[in-house]
Amino acid sequence: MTAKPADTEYMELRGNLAEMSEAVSKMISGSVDTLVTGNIEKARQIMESDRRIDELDVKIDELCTRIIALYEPKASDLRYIITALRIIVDLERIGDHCRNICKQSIKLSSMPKVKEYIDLPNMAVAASDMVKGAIDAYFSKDEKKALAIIKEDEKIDAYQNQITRELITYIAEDVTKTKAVIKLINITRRLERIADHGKNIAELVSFMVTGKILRHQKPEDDDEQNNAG
Amino acid sequence: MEQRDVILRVRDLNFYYGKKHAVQGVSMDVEKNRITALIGPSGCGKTTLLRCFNRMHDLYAGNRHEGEIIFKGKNILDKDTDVTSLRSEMGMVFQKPTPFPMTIFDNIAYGLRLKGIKNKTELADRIEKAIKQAALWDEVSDRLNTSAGGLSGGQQQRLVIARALAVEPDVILFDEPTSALDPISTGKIEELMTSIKNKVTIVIVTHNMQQAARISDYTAFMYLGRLVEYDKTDVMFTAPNEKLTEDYITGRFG
Repeated sequence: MTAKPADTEYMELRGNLAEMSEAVSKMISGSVDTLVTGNIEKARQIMESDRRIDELDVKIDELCTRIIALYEPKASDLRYIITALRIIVDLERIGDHCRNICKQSIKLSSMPKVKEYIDLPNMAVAASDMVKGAIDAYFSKDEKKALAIIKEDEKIDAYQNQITRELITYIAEDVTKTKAVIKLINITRRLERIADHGKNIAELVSFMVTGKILRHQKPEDDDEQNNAG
Repeated sequence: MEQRDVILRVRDLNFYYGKKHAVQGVSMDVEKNRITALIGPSGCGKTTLLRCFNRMHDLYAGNRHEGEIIFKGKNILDKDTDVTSLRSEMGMVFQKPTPFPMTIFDNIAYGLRLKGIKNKTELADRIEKAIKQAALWDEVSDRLNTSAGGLSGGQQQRLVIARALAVEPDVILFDEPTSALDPISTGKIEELMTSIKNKVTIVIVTHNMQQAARISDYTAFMYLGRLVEYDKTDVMFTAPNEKLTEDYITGRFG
């Protein structure tokens, strides 16, 4: 009943968060794209777009503070707001990682290409899908989807292991490629971090829906519980 | 501050109940078509200030005003102000519902008839419109000719608001309008206030800080007769400038 006056604020929050996650998703795919194409101009554009992410970060932060101060949300409303406040931290970090990938892409564009990039773009797609999926799960308050995304992180870790191992063999073959290879390993690492943020968001969504905190639980803990039962 | 459409301009307002100096040098602009809340601990002068706006204090002897309240280009504290017409431009809703002991229809027709509206169709139209604006129509449309005393407290309060709205005032002053109501009825009144603010300016006195936070656009905090701070509600409740406001809002006193 009395939540009614807050409706406009909730809608504004939804709109801003949708814009922020959309912009972040674009940055993820775009940043790896610039690596593949060597398009420096586009890399600069993407780095510039991080500014909008930072603006939205501040805007959503203020909006959530206002909602808490003015309307004292309770129960699921409260978890919705708290989750939004934490999601934007993850999204903002993802934006920073993308900026860094672009920076490295620009440097790599002036070096001889180590190899054709095949798995890196695939890894980027997988990481971006995790982030997008986690945000969708937030909007639809879908715990199942959130849990599925948490599992996806294993795929990303596998990509990282495989790509890193392969890249190291290039150093063994030709030491002059070391600098470029390190940059590529760094990009892989950034993508892995991006996926971790996606996983974080999914865990937050699970908390929002159920009220239970999933962080700091390892999958083994579940197994032990199952065995005990 | 950005250009605002001001409907009430208060300047150096002082008010005395005999010797008691209840409102001390208050200056503030009330913006048109917004909800302005007056908050503060008991005895801070917020209700006294509200009652200055429609010269309610004239009803008692020994009271005295100083200063200006400019409304439609005129100082309403001037001696030549026609208080009856002032009060029809500035309606008031009290803490306890005050329906007249007559039918629902007549409660609202009362003010309209005073204004000289006699035509039955016009009366019926304006009454229906007012009751609809007050979000009461669905509950009373089939019993307009029964006594208003038979309505629940929340319904009576909405009827009183409908009565105020019927004469199309510029401002409605609310003095603790929901403190005698349950949370559901309170919610309805709050929704109602938000929905009518595009037609009428609202000034509300409330003890319920959360209510001020939820519905108002501007909040004024008063303490010991003085206006301590007056700003946009979200500023007042997230980052007030004055330590005193901060202490009151966070529950450290009052």
